[in-house]
Amino acid sequence: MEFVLETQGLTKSYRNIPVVNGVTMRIKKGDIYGFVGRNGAGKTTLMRIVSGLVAKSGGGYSLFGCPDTDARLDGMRRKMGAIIEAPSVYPAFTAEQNLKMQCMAGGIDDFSSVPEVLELVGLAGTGNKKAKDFSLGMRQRLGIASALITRPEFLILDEPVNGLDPQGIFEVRELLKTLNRERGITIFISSHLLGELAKLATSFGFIERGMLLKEVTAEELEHACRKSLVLHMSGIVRFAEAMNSLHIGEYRVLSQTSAEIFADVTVSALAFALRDVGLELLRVVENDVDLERYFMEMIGGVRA
Amino acid sequence: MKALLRADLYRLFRSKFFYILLIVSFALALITFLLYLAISEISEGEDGLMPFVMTAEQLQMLSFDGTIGYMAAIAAAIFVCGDYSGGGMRNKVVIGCGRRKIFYSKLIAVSFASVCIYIAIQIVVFVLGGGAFGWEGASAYHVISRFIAGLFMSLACAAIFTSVALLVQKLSSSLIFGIVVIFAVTMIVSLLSVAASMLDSAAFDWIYKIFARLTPMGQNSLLMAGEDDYWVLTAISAAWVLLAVFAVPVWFKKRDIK
Repeated sequence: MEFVLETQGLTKSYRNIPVVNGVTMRIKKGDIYGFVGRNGAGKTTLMRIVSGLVAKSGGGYSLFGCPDTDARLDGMRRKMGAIIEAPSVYPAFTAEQNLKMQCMAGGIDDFSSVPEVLELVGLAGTGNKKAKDFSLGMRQRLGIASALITRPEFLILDEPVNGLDPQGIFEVRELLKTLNRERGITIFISSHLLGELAKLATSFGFIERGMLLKEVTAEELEHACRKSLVLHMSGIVRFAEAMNSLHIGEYRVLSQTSAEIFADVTVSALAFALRDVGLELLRVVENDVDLERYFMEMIGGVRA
Repeated sequence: MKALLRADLYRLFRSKFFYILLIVSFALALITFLLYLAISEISEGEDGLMPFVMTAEQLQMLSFDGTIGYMAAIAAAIFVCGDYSGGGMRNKVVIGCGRRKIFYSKLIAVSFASVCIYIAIQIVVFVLGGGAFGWEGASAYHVISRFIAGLFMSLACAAIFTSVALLVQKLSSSLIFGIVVIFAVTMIVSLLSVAASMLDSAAFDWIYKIFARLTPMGQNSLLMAGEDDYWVLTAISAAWVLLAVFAVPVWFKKRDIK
């Protein structure tokens, strides 16, 4: 399996306080990797280390299989684009001039892709308007355009939808999906909007206090977050018999009077089936775990 | 490197500050020229006044008034720190331009701006000063050597302040640092010079000359006073540039970028 980014015990400390603490993670080629964590959890610092902006304190990483100690790493970075914290924008320049600058810095002499990229991010009509007069959302789009203009294979996006309105968020999400699907760009994205990440990412990494807690695929997360019904009953004897009669295979007994089932079934059908085996259905609670709740449960709830 | 330089020059030529600094430097040199032209004409027309004889060579010496140091500090701070605040520096590092090359590109761009500013000042000296005052008694060797010493001094200022801006990263800090350093060096050089002449002390004179030679900002006062060891000054300025070229990339490599 080909990995675009691999970290091995990656650590960054400021005055002996670890901000990123021994993170080992892998991002597969073609993935959209959602990076989930609270403010100050270490997401941005890790992204900055991988982008070459901050020196690591320990561990290592490799980009496209090239270790960070290798002199060829700068060459590998040519395949990268990033928005870290704020979009990179020269305020006194127009969108087109900003992209031309980025092309030049990236060693691209042909500016023919500039209009196409501006069109792609929805900034085609900005003309002579300078970036300092852009709205926050337009700046974000310009930042994305700057990251795309060098035709990267790997995009690092730290909170790319910050400041965007709902339509802007939707458009960026669709754009990233398109880039991933049609151009095969691997995306490493962090966002506070976990619902948005859930709609976009194909795998997830959860970070808390600088440590990577867990990595899961979208399928695994979907499985963990799927809807369930918690049934409170008069007892538990012959419960399995009732489930069999409803052809429900996935369930777990929680206590002597409760069980959780993973199935799409009506409450009345459940009540009848349980009554047939001599159990009374007292209460049904729908359990809908989303990414946010999954994350909060993983880190042990809300910390005061 | 070529690509980076192209991007930096593209930005420089589209930046207002570059043209503003050029105009301000030219205007200051022009004001100095007009002032001396007026003094010269008044002294000629008034009986009883001692005739004021001004030459273009004297105007050239007077042009080393420290303007270039301030202008280089401002140009470096705005150009380099502007790249940090806009995020351009981040982008360049992320796409693998290489920190050493990024620094060299910035150094060349700021040096180019400083040389342009220096030439704008010297245009007043050579074109207007030469036309109005003439080059009577001037030695071509001294004029050209002084011009070259001034050119290298401009390059040294650009190297020092580009390095400072690159490492400090913040526009306000870089500007304050540059201006305070120039002011402090100028003041120390002046105090040492006064002390050397008032006390007639060889020790003070020695300290003054060493200190003034070692710093590009101090070299101004020597060139202004008619010092003629141009090639020593040129070599010291070149050493500052070489120091920046070799030392700064090592330091810059370890710096975290905002």
